[in-house]
Amino acid sequence: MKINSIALRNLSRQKRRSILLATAIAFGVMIVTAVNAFSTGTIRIIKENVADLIGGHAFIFLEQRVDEKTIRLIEDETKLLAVVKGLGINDDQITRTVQLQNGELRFGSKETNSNVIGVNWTQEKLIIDKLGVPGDVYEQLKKSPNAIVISQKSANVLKAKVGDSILIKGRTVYGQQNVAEMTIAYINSDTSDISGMMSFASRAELNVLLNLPDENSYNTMRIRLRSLDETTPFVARLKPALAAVYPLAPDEGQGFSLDSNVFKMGSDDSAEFEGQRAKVTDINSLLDFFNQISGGLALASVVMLVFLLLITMIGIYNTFRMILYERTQEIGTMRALGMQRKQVGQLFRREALFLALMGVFLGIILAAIVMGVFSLFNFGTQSAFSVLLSNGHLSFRIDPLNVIVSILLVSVFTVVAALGPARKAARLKPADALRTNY
Amino acid sequence: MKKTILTGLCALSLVIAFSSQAPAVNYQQILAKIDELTNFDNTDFSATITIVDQKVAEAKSVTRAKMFRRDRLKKFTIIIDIPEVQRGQGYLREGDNVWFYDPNTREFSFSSLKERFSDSGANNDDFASSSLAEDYKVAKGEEGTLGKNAIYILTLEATKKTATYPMLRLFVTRDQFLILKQEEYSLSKQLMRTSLFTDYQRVSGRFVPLKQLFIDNLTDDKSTPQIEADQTQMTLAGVSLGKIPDEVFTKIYLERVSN
Repeated sequence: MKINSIALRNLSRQKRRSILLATAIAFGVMIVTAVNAFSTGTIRIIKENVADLIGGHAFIFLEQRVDEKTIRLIEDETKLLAVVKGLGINDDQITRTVQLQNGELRFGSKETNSNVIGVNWTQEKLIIDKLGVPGDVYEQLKKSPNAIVISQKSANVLKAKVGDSILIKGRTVYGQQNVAEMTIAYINSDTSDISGMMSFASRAELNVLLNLPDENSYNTMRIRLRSLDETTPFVARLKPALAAVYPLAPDEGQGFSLDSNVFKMGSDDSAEFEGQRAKVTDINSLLDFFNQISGGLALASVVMLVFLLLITMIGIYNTFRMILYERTQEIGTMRALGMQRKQVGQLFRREALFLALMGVFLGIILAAIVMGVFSLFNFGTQSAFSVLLSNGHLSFRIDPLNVIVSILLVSVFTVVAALGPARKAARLKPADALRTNY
Repeated sequence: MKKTILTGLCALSLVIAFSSQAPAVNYQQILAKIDELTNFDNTDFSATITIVDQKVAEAKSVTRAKMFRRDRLKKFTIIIDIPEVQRGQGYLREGDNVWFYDPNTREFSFSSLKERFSDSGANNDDFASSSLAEDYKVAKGEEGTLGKNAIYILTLEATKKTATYPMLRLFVTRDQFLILKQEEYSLSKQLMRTSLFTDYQRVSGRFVPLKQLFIDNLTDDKSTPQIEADQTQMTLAGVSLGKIPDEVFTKIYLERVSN
């Protein structure tokens, strides 16, 4: 305990030097904390925004084999509903959707690919709000069965405007080619990549295009959970519950692909099975690509912190060498008064540790200030980056694990930097130290 | 007596009427004949294919690839040679599954016969063996002419929900059952693509169209004076029925050759 108070007193004796060293450490910690918080927060916001756009956090399909092809079709949802409701899900958390994957939008000689989501315009108000559809257009959407909402990105490629008739080319759930003509009712001005690959059309009309047996049939049961954090635990409970009523399909082939610029939510035609089987996926699996980016950023920031710490270590090592020279006589006195070698070494190491902790906490405070300032800026909700933003603002989320890693790394590096001078100080003989006069 | 004579005359006229009528054409058999004449079930088949893609208001793009077919096992392998940026990309068909290999990522991705080939107007199933008799029934058959050719015009309806096109119209020569023109319709009965087949080459009792022209009927751009629809011309050269090693129809081969 005395060692701790002496170490703290020593640090306060050279305030300017201690503050400079702590600031150097704090700078590294601030950058790493802010980068990590930005990537964690942004990935989370992307997932939340995509979950809003595609209408859920967890997705259930029923697959069956027809003419040696795997198709996804829910005609009778009785057993599915029983399972889902048994897990505490309410009706208002369930969305039944149809989706044309990788459909081709054609306007004259121009074409672009898009996932067309079937929407029940009167019931799915959240999508309307997310798309920013004005009231009069919403009324038009409800009245016109062949109306479609496309993204600004698609409109730019097609060189089409509101009121133009475009062709939607795609495959039915059985894989047959089909074409429908639809009229652009609204262009979603969100130009981000994810919004750019989605279009929205009336579910009834899309059912015809996909050749679903009737208007009550659908592709996917989407479950909206109260928060993103509930996704993984819910899916962990859902899978065994579903497995009791249907065989489960393996988890593979799902996700966002940069190559095709579409969500892969398709079925695997090569799989052989009999009867019906259920497949479950979730927003985390679909956007695993972004988790990889987040992991990459976290790793890069740790490498950056290590690099900054290596530079700071040189400064810390030199500083403690200076401290050793400055305090040689003092060390001699303390040793003459009964302080053990081990305690002298400990004193140096504690000083380094307190310095590191000061730096870490200062760094986190600075990071919080920087993040607070950046999150004040409003970039708007219709920009190309809106899918990365929470209501137009940048989102930061500090991951406690990252903070612990930073504290440990900084502490270890700082203490290691001080080890050499600490060992030298411990080896000083009291008589020699008292005689020394630098 | 009069009654007997009248009955006899009626019977005679019926006999004459039936005997003077041409034998009814079995259109379903024509489909089987087309399959038989275009598939190579007893030998392997290889050729160099050149695809010239001409999209409206865009420059032509040329793709050249080597194609290997083993129809009896429903297999093919296609390895792209030109353009340089796509060199080494390959397609492997095993039954109804098609795998696409990209040497840049060194990964296979699942595709299907219904997908487009290399973003051209040709589909993967344009390289597959013909299964018209299995997948379609003739809903309507009639006689007609196409240019100087006497033809049958067959309207086909898919017997399987999974057939690529729910409806086809074939324009088939009456003498050799060669498809000269094929119209492909969507489920909503919209004409999607017209394929024209010319320059048939007879190879070992089978027929191979050396030139195929695919017209995308969904592109309809009147603003350009040259062409009004995307067109893709596919040419076959160096046709061979020589035995192809088994390993050619494997993923390992595609990886090795592509890299």
